[in-house]
Formats: sequence, C-alpha cells, structure tokens
Amino acid sequence: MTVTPHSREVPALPPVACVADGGCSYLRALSTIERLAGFDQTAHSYAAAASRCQRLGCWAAEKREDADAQSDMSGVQPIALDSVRQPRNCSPTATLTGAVAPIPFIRSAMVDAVSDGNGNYVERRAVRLETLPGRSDPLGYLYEYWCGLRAETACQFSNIDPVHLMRAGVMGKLHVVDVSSSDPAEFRFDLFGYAVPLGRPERPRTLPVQIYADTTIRDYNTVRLTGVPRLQRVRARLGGTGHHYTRLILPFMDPKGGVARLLVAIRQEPGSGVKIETAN
Amino acid sequence: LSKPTVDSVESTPDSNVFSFKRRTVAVDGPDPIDRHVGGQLRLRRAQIGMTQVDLGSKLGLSFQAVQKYENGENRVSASRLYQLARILEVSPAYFFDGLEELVGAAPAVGSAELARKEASLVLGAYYAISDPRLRAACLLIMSRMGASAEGGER
Repeated sequence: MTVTPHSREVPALPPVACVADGGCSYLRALSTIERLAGFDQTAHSYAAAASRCQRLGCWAAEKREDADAQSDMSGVQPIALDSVRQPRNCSPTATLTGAVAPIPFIRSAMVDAVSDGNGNYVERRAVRLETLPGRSDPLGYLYEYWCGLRAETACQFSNIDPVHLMRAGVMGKLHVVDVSSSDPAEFRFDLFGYAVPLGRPERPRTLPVQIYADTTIRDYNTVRLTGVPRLQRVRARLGGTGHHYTRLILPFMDPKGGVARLLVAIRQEPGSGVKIETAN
Repeated sequence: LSKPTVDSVESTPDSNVFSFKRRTVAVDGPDPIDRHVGGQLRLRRAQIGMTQVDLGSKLGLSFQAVQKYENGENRVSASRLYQLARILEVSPAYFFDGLEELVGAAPAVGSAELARKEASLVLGAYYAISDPRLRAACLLIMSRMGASAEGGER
C-alpha cells in the first residue's frame, strides 16, 4: 500500500510505503492484540504511533522529513518499515496473475446450509485441517504456529507472539472473540478485522443478517465447548453480495483451562464481495 | 538475623528488630520495572520483525524463556541486558526509556548528595560512641523523634 500524507502538506516528498497494508488500522489492530495479551505498554506504543499518524499525516512519510520533523519525533521509537512485511513465500497474493489460489479441500458430507425469505443464504462446509497447505499459506502458517503454542505453552492469549501474526499476513482479516461468557449471545468481538467488509459489529449477534449471525455464533460456541480448532469453507449471500471465504477458528485458553478467546482468521476466496444479481 | 536477600527492609521504631519482606512474582505479580523492561524488549523485537524463537536461539534460550522476560516473570540480568541490547541493536538505556513516567522521577542530584553526606555524618557520629548501650539509646531517641515528627505532620 502506498499512501501520501493527507492532513499535512509535505511538498516534494514522494509517496512511501506505509508500515503495511492497513496503515493506522494495522497498528491499531496490533495495539488491541497487545492489550489483550496483557502488554499495555507495548499496546500504548502502537496506539500512539497510530494516533500520531492520524494527527500529523502519514507517520511513515514523516520519518523521512528533515529537521523540523526530526525534532518533533524526538523520543519516539520508529517502527521499521520492513518489520511487518510478510515473507515472500507467505504472501497469498504472490501469484503472477494476482489471483488468489483457493485452498483445496475434499468435499465433505458435512454441509450446513440455511436461508431466509429475503434471498440470503449461508452455506458452511467443514474442511479438514490437514488440507491446509502449510507455511506458504496465511491460514496454514497460523495453524502451524498455533499447534506449536498448544504443544509447548498453556496456549493462552498472552503466549501469542504478534510477529507471527504479521508474518502470516492475516492482520486485517483477523477477529479476536471473547467467548468467556457461557451465553453465546454475549460473545464479543475484542477485535474485528479491519479488512473484512461487514461493518464493525461489537458482537457476533449483531452481524448483518440474522441467519449469518446465528450460524457464526454456533460455530464459535462449538470451538469454545470442544477446544478443537475448526476450518470451514463459507459461501454466503448477504444483502445481495456474495461472500466466499475460508475461516480458521483457533481456541485460546484461560488459566483454568477453559476456552476464553478465539482467534478467527479469514481468507477470502475468488468471487467474494461480488454483487449477485437477483432474478427479480 | 539472617542475611537479607530481600528487596525491601522495614524497621519498627520501638525496637532494633528489622523485618524483611521479600517480593515474589507468585504473590505480588511481576515487578513493574521488570514488566517495563520486558515491554521495551517486546516492542523492539517486533519492530525489527524478530520472533521469540529467533531471539531465543540467539541467546541460547527457549522461546518460553523469552516470553518470561517479556512479561516480567523472569528478571533480566545485567549481562543478559547487555546481550539483548547488542542483538536488538539498541543501547542498554533503551530498556529503561519512559521508566520515569512509571515510577516517578529520581530525586535531584543535589538533594541525593546532601542526603548521602548527612547520612555518613550520622553514621560516623553513631559509631564514634563506644558504649553499645549508649548507641542503642541514641538509636531509640532518633526513632522516637522520627515517629513523633511523623505524627506531628499528620
């Protein structure tokens, strides 16, 4: 992503690559993850960098400015521009055509399809986790990382190393769901992926279409109760728009061993976000 | 009295008995300064895109040990701090940046010097008294005076 400073005039400065796709949103997401992991000080640093970006224009561009900006930046620790780039082999869009290659899956008998009278439908198909193509794929990378955490730590949210989330390249399509309540209607999004085109719901029950909200809550609750990760292919039509994505739901424990939070990573598949014409 | 392996020493004004209180991570949680150092470590590591595993392998430690440094459960020794500064390409002082905001500013140099000089005069005068009973009496008087002064201030 290239950005130009927007709220301050910076003459003769070429556009520079921002910290990552998402810019300030990326930093705010990182800040939220750090806060949830219990690193308030680190969270504050990311939030400060994001707010600075909003206040003064592109923070990354400012880094290249001369004396006046330098004095303004005193005491601020810069975030290296290459720190959040994903490795080349992890990029889901690193194909010659720019198209995203879908994750192959074995057609499962477990298809759950629901629809309502307004032309909306949601179809979820369980996909075996072994079909994830490994570290070359964002969801595969995340799943491998989670397996390592599960094997060697208590698998709590505080065990997460955000650098792995950066490397996986999933930051904008990542939800963190608080499922500590036994009432699924009370599940809450601690973080909702800024690149997911479904608004900014606070809770799964406030997702745009009722059948979509219900099925999402059911899937989250299944992972909360079983503690087993879940991979699904979801195909939906919500308000006339087609959504087609693969969803990985990973559980994270509380100190007592119950599931307290879910990390939900989404990978959009070809055809997602396309307006679907109705017969009428 | 046993050898004090403690973080804080409290004295009672009416006796020569000193009580020692040891701070533990299990009871009191991580020390705020250790957490601050750990937070700085985590931030810098993320800035240069280094994972806990990468850093652990450079230090000859597991990534769990790095996690413990970061959340303040394990205290970073001086030698380790120096090693971390070299690996993360920062000065050792970086780990203490912003600490004043957390624990309050250190006392001014002038008053610290004065306090040190005054303390050394008091100690010198105290140990110049050869009679141990007189020394104990002096200590008691000073303790009582200190306690009454505190009461008066309230």
